Amino acid sequence: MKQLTQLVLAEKQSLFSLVVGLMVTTLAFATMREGHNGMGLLVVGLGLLSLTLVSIAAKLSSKFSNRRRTVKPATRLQVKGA
Amino acid sequence: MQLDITIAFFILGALATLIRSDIQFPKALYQSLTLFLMLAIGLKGGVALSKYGSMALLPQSLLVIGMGLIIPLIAFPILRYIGQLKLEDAASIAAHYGSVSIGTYAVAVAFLEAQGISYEAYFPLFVVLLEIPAIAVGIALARRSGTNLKWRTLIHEVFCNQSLVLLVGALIIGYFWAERIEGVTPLFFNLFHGVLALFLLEMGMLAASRLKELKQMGNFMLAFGVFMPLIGGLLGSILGLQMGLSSGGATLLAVLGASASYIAVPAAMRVAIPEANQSLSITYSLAITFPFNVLVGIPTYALFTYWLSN
Repeated sequence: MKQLTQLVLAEKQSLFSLVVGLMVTTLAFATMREGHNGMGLLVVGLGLLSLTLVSIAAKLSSKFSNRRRTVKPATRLQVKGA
Repeated sequence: MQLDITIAFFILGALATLIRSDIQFPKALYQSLTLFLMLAIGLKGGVALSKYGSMALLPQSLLVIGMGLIIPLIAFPILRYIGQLKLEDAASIAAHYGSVSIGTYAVAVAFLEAQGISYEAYFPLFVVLLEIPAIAVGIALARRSGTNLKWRTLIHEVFCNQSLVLLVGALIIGYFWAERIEGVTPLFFNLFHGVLALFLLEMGMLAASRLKELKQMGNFMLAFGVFMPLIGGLLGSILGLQMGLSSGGATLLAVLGASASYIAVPAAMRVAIPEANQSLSITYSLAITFPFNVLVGIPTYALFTYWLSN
């Protein structure tokens, strides 16, 4: 829970973009359900969602790769010592 | 709803820039088109005011000014605490969103006329009223950082900027010379859509030329540029209906709430908050919110009004 709160605080901007993307996509579907043209809204909403998800994924993958890099030297030393 | 023909010119302008076409749009022509649109909108409003103007407009005007004060106050905390922008930048951008865009208003008028939706013709009065309150809020927010103001220069920029002078001037001319308006009708009223098309061609080119900056600034900017017009549009639509405006009028008020200034406010902010990054504010209003409103927003606000009134 604490980690989740920290993640949310650190990624406020991504979270905001995600919420706006979802809001616009929902609005697009509501518009289309009423028989109006909601394609523009849908493109904007899905575009925003996909861009945000890609950026979150990129940040997470860079975090994980950094962690792996810091762990590797320690294991080598342990092996040598043994 | 089908896109208006004038919007097709906006798309053409954007595409031309994206494929690096060598279209040269003289700066003087762009300024002339802006000037023409302001005069045409002001004249139309002045003529309508002379016919329908009454004291009933006073409470409506006060409510519209209230909307101009509230919108920057919604925008500011989002920019400051979620966007983590500098106080001066957040205040300046918030002021841009509280004010109005004449171009977006002109497109909305063309949209309503194409759809056969009637609206209160005295609306240019509200356009004029919405120019100033947001600037005041922006300055008040930025003053928290102890910015020193050159009041005389600022007052001159706020009250003597081209859009306010031309709009108010044309409103007065239209009001007092309403019966002789036929003399200028062929130029200012009959050519309105053609001039708007040319204006949008240039705006398309301008918006597309700022896409590079958008790439560097991340998703938050894009999300904010879409979120604020939707919130402003919803607010305007609710307020319009509460004020007893027609559905066309409520849609126009929604458009005013949704649009962000790129002519009057940047000039005022340059004097009021010189520490703010003016290019950032223009990118928000011109590269995100203007295209969003023109391509997607205006029909959406008409739909908001339809949903709320039913």
